[in-house]
Order: sequence, then C-alpha cells, then structure tokens
Amino acid sequence: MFNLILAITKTFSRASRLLNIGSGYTWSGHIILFFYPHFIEEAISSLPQGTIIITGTNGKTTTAQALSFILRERNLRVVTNTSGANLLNGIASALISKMGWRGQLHADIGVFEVDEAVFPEAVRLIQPTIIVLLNLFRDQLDRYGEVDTLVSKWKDALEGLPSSVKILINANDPALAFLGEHSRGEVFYFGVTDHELNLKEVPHYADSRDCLNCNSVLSYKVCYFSHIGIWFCPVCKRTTPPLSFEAGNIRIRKEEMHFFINKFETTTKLVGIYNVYNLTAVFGLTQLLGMGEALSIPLFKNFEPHFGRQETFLIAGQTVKILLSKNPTGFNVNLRLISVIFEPGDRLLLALNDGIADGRDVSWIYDVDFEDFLKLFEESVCASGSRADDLALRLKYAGLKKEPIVSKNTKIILEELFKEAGKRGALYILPTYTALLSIRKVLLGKEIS
Amino acid sequence: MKLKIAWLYPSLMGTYGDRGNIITLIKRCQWRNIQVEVREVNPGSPVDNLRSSDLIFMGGAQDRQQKIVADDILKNKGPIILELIEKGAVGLFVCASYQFLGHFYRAADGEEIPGLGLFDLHTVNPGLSVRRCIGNIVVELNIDGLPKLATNYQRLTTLVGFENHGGRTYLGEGVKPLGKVLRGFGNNGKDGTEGAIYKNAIGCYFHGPLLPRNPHLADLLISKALGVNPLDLIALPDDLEVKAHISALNNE
Repeated sequence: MFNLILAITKTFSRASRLLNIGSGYTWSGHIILFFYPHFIEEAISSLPQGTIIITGTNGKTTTAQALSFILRERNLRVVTNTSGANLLNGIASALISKMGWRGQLHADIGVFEVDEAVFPEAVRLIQPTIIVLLNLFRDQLDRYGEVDTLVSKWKDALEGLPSSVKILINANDPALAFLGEHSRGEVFYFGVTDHELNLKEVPHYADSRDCLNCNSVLSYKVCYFSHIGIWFCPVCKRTTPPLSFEAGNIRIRKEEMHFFINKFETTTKLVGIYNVYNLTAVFGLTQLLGMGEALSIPLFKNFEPHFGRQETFLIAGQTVKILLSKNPTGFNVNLRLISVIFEPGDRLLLALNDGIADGRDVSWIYDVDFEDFLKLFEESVCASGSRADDLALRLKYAGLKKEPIVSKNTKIILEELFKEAGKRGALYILPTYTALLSIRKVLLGKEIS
Repeated sequence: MKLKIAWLYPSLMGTYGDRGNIITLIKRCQWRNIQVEVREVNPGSPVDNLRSSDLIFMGGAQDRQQKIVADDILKNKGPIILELIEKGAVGLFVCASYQFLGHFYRAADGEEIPGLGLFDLHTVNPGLSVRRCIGNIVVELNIDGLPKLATNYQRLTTLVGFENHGGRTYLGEGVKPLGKVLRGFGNNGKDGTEGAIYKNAIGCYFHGPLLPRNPHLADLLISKALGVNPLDLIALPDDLEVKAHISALNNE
C-alpha cells in the first residue's frame, strides 16, 4: 500500500515539475502525510549523517541552498526542500523526490529550511542533529503573530531537546541569544565583529530592543541593522555571547563581497551584511559536521545566488537583479545595499503584493526608510504589485516629488522598463514573495526568447 | 501657527508602521506651511512636553511592551492625558492604546488590567481558542463636518485600513462610535460598531498607518488641534491618497 501511494505521489510530483506547475510540488507531500502521518520521521531516520534544520525570518533559503551546494561538492547526497516550500508538506515532498520506487531514500543528509511558525512541530517530528537559528524580525504579523510570541514558542521547543542536539545561534540577535541561554543541547554562536559597519543608532524598525531577562532597554557597542549587533544589558549585564564562528573585515563590491570568517578570507557573489550572517552560519555548519576549514571556504565563491535572493538575469543586454524584500528589515537592508552599488542610469522597481503568502497587511511599508535613499532613486523608481497604489503613496510621504510609474500589473511594467533596456543601466527589483513568483515567470520567459 | 504633537512610546507602541501616522501629520502640515513639532514621549521622560501638546498619538503594541507602558502611564502620563483631552486636545489612540483608555482589559486568563477610563468601554479577550479579528476593514464615518478634499475628488466619508486584535471591545451606553462597520470586525465583530469618540479623542482598531489613506481624517485631526475650522484648511492635491483609499474600498 505504501509503495502504491509513494508511486502515485512520485508520479504526480514529476508530472507537475515537467508541466512546470510550481504549486504542484508540495501536493505530493500533502497526499503522503494524509495517508502516512509518520512519513517524515520514518524516512528521515534512515539518513546516516542526520538532519539539519534552518529557521529564522530572513536568510533561510540562501543558508540552506549554500550549505547543500557545499555538501554536494563534498560528494554527499543531500535531500533539501525547494525554496519557500518550508512547511511539513514541503519537507515530505523533498523526501519523496529522493526516494526510490521501493521507498529507499537516496540521500546521506537532510538540509531543511523550516517556517518560523512550524519550527516547534518540525523539531519534534524530525529530531534534527543540528538546528540553526538565524534571526527573528517582524514579518506578516497577521500570520505569525508578534516576535515575542514566536520567541516563546521557540523557547518551549528548545527546552525539550535531547542534550545531544547541536544548536547554532546568531549571537548578534539578543532574543536568539536569550534562547541559547535556555536551550538544552550544545549551543554554538556565530556573529559579526566589524566596527566599520556601525550605524549611529539602533534603527526605529528594530524589534527585540529589550532584554528578555530583565525588560531593560538594551545598549549597543555596534549595531549593524535592526536589533542585530554587539549588544549588552546595562542592568542585568547580559552580553553578546562569545563567538565560535566570527566574521569581519567586510568589503562590499557591486558583483561580489569579501570578508573573513575565523581568519579565513572568503569571496562570494552574495553581497550585503545579511549574507555575511548566512554564510558564517554555513561555515559553522560545515565545522559542526566535521569538515576541514580549508575545504569549505574556497567553495563559497562558486555558489550561485538562488531564486530571487540576489538572483541575476541578463535581458536585452541589461542586468536585472532581484532582491526579495518581504518585511521591513529585509527591505531596509536591501535599500541600503543597493544605495552602495547604485550607479547613474540604474533603475529600481518595487513590487508589493498582499497575497496570503505575503501577508494581507502592508502597514510595514511605513517602517521602510525610503526617505534616506530618495535622492538616489528619485528619477527611476517604479511601483508595482496588487498594492502599487499604497507604495506610490508611501513614496509621496517619503518626499518623492515626481509621481512614480505605477502599474498593478508587473508584466506590463516590466515590458515598459525593457523598452529602454539598451539605454539604461541595471534594473534592481525589490519584490514581496508572490510578486517575486510572477516577476520570475516574466523574466524566465524573456531569457529564453 | 504651530502644531505640537506628542508621540507616546514610539519604540514600545509602534509594532507595525504606526509611524506612518506621524509622517502623514508632519507632511500635511508642512505642505501647508504650518510649523510642526513632534515630541517623543517615553517611559521615564519628563511630562512638560506632553502637557503643552495639541495632539496626542499612541499606537499599538505587543503584550510585553504593553505591560512596560502600563506602569508608566498609570503613574505618570495618564492623568495628564485625561486632563488634556478634557480641555479639548486631540487624541488618536490605536489598538492596544484604545483598549488601554477604556475601564479595563480582561486578558485571556481572566486577569483584569485597569485602564484610564477616558472612554466608557471595556475590552475582553475571549482566549486563544477564539480567532483574532484580522483583515481589511472599512467603516462609514460617524463624524459631521469632515474637511473637504480638493473639489475634483469624490468626497470621502469612509475610513479604510487593517485590523489585527484579539480583544473584543464593548461600548458603554451613549458612547459615540467612530463609525459603522461596512467590512471587517470592528469593536467586537457583533454590534457593527468600530472605535469610539469622546470630545476630540478617537480610539480605534485601525492599526498601523491609518492616516495616509484617510487624508480627510488626518486633516480633521490637524484642524481640531490647531483650533481652526476644518473647512478653512488649504486643500491639497490628494490624487494618490484618494486613489489608495478607493483601491482599499474595492480590495476584498
């Protein structure tokens, strides 16, 4: 019976991939979990090198994909969920696709990105060997609830772990460091030490500004973005925990970024400080898996940005770079990053949707500091997506004098932008999640034709 | 002419774009050459600035922040807020702040947290098993003498926004609601009311940036705070505001 259901779901998932029905991917997982609720636990128990779970608001996909890339380069067979399919049915689908017709799993290790809200259940089911906590920012309040709510759910999940589990935590996120103090298992910290990147003050859109131990407002020696930095509590004296994996000396260029991790110089096509965190977590993971330091670092520069996370297209001679921006922190860091590499003639397209997967509530665009970068984008900014009108209004209140080009239809606005492609510089696109899906579809069509 | 705005607990009570309201008030004053000053009021900060303000704004918050604020407001800022509103100052209190200005908030565990009692209302959180009120909301405003927008726009008599609250608010007898719910939940999802008005103070569940898409309400607050007739404010080119408002009226 199991083999029959597996065969059906495998066929189904292959067909949907062949026919390019993206949403078909998670259906196979959905079906198998309906008939076999313990499918995930049983399948995963056969992985000889165990399973890694990666969660956090931003960076899950990049971290999971970069780690999978490196492990594959080291000749490990990796089972991993495709970007965005980070609920239980997405994990089940990934397992199905790596299974033979008799149910044998052709993989050595599991690397799964897991949705923040599903994390406690995923930990209970999967019993991972290593857990990575990247960060927690406000994101889709209508779906996830508040940051504090997630912190307390994660705390419960981490307190129930067996002590053999390794947990890799971003020490620069004070709420996550607090979780590290209350976790069972072996805790390791990663983080950044680079005083050059210090913001003068903690930005208004920061979330975890208070000490979770004593409720006092935290102080910062260095703040990189949001509430991420070298923090300390002036009252109860908690501080950023010591780092096992430390990045620094970060130099951002248009096409690549250089930085050090634990004295090893690293080069990558991913740019921006948030990718320093993602890649430092990846490095930490390779170390916890027992891989030599000198082996993983050189592989970083071969990793290609993935699915809208700094993914680059070349269309009619024009470079198009997509930077998924789905919450205030992501949007703000991406605006700041673009402001560093933006050149005259470059253009900026913002695309805001309010689908279920984006969050129906777009209030957060008022937590994005368009004001700070307006001069740079004034002549070239365009607004699109189902909430394009709200974006245009936000830009007006940020001080934009000129009315931007606005179209709710992303296809129409892209056509408009490509008319001038030859005469203009790069096009940077900042979309929310479902806007990314529709924009990629248009761009992939263009690339082929 | 100068508008003095007190922004209460900006970092604690500002979960999701609440600063959009302050940005809107500032811009709509500046576009009319009205001077404007925003004073951020935090726990422990002196109360002189608050005492001399014409307009008070307080946004929404998470539970933990709400507890930090509760302490400071009951002891220090609360009595001044009440005094100011009684004297005719303008107030906009959103979500958690709105609940806090009622008689009490009964939490999911049954604990009653006393409020300031500015509005004759109370709020009950029915517990986690009952769904939160989340979604787009549209109400028909219950306010006479709304400022006119420039003549080439359709007159706005609705308020559009987003709500996200667990607590259900019940108005006392004779309390004037802010409006009638056309879409969404409002105060409690049952009686069709949303928000409350007392003198020049408004409490409501329109969280985050309520004012950008509702420029008529922004102008009403500004004119009342300055003590001028709303009809005397210079009309502004509100194309984008009206477009976003109408877009929201049509958005399910």
